[in-house]
Amino acid sequence: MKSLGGVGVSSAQLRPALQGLNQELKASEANSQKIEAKAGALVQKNDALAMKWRSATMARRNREQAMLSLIESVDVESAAELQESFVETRRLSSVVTSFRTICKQLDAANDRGEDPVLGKLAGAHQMDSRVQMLQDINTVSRAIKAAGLCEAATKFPLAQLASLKEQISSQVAKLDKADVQAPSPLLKASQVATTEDAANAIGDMLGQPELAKALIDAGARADDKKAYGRDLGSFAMMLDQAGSAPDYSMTRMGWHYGYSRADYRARAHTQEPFVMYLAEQRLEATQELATGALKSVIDAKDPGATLQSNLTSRFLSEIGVHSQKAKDWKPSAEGMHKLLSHEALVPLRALNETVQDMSTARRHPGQSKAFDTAVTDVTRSMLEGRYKEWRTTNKASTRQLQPLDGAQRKAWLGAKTSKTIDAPHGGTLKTREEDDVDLLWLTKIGGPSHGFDFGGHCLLPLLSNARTRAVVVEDTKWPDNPAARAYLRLLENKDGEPVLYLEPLQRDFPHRDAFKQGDLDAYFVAALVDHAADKARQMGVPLSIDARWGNITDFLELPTKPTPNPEMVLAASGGVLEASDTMTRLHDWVQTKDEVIRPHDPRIAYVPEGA
Amino acid sequence: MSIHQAHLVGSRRDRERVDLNAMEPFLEGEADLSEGLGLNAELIDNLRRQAHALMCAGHFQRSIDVTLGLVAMGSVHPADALMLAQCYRALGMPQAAEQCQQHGDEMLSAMGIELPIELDEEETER
Repeated sequence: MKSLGGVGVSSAQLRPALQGLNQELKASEANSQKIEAKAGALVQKNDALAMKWRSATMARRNREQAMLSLIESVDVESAAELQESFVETRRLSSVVTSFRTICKQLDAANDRGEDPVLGKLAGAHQMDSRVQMLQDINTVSRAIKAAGLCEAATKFPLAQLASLKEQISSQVAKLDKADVQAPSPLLKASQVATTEDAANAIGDMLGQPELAKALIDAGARADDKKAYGRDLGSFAMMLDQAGSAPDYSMTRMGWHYGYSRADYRARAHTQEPFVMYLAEQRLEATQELATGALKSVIDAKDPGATLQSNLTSRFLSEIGVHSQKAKDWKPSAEGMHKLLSHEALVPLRALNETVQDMSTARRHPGQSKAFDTAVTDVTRSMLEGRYKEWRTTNKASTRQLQPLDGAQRKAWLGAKTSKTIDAPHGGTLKTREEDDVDLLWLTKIGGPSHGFDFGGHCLLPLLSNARTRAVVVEDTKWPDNPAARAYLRLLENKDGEPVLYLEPLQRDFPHRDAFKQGDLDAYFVAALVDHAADKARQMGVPLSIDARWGNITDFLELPTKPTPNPEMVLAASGGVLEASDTMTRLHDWVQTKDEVIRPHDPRIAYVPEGA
Repeated sequence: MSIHQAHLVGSRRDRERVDLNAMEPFLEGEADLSEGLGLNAELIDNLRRQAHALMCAGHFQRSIDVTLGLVAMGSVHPADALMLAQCYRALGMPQAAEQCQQHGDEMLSAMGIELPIELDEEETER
């Protein structure tokens, strides 16, 4: 919220992003033209078709539709390619138009000396903005000390800096006393478990209590009342989550989002005010379209079926999936309910709307299609309610699980292992494995760099590969989400035999802030290593551990031996990339083939009996 | 060379001035911190040069502190992100380095600036 104070966002701050979008739009238009030319060449041999093609390209209305139906009759693949290019160009064009409108609105509002839209945010975020100002001042103080003996530092107006700090501190104290009301946290599935609760929540969100009553009445006419209640609950959660979701098609991937899941749940997940400012138009559209969709449920002959169909189309739109793209998908109502119960709207929107940022000229060039396929596969399997199965049976995962026999495979994919340990902060730590849709949130623990909106490309390998088990550590003192996580990977030695490889522990940032006991990390690591060792015993395979955790293995009385210069085989990733700070020095890299990895830090191995 | 000739003698007048007119827009949220402090562009440039000098001298953490100070004041230049990337890399923080590098690259690209290939390669090698 740097120095904006919640009031003066200027169009100049947004224009650099507009330039980038304009370039993308031009590139997309050029690409469309190329594909059109290619498609045009297909019909040139047939005079009648060529004539129709010419008139289609010059048509004033339904030009794209006319071109598509013509090419579809000749070559379906080219038609699909052409359609994709049209959709992308249209998407970018609408984003650019919205951006321009917003820039104009900002200029006009700033000229008037007021900004009604941002004013609303300023009310809610006034405290945050003042605290940010104080942080900025402290950062500058530290900078001047660090600069040392130089002209700028010796001439710096330190008295003015101190005076600003004093004034803002007193404003913060006043706001503190004013008891600024925090926004309500995200709805839980249990809060909208009945038709009445869901309908009332929707009525509150849309400010239409009469709509709530009508929805309850419509529910009484539904054939399957239980399904109606579930879908209405899904609708309520969708509206609620969309109500504070960034518009990633505008604000893209970056550092301007939250660091932890708690931030998102408390709707305090944007670091910069422009994020929610730019989401304002979409939010208005969401509410308008949702109202329309729900009114059609009230008027429908079969309210249950209409609700389910409208929920599907609204959910697809909210997560940024074009209906054409999803025309062959079979979204399930249970799948959507599970996703929304796990607050998955925001991560899915982020993945689908920032997929084009995953491959750029400098970052993983030439992988756009592969990323698009990976995101599509993940999204589709989640919506169809078969994600857990897809994750273990897709082509890459099948290859990754090859070295395991039946019993080992069952032990690897089973989530029965759990270890507990009492920690010095008074809580009990308990491990478990996460392997379903909640994986979307996993990298927000100890983030931010692999989080879905900081770097969704780094999350894809976790979402797509059965070789990675996510071990989370719950803390009884930290009830809302796991306090730490780590990856346990299935690799192979050079003879093709399975080896388990334990990655470093990541602790939730707010948990680290809340519990500052210096040795707490060691207890988390002990629970984690104990869990991994148990898994290794069940599978009868060796476990590779960071040698710096040798004292923990001693504490757990696990016999280990050093493994100098270990080499292991990492099977190809199903998520385009793999991401790890210990297996290579690359952090994240395109990993479409099996490769040998040589960890750069010393490792030790625990070899269970019989392995 | 004397300390005066090197412009390193502190200016008490500069350090102790309090300009209420400059502060007000910042407190109202209408100006950034550099304007609120009444800083001129030359002083900001000097600080950026100092951040670069600190980085070249191997004082990576100090260089980071100065650069973050510049950002907090509302002055952002693509070079800041690239300097931060280099410092984080030198301090063994590859994740932070990678993110800063991406930021710098995106800013350069948004501003239509291309680094000479040799310079770009040199950055990557480091």
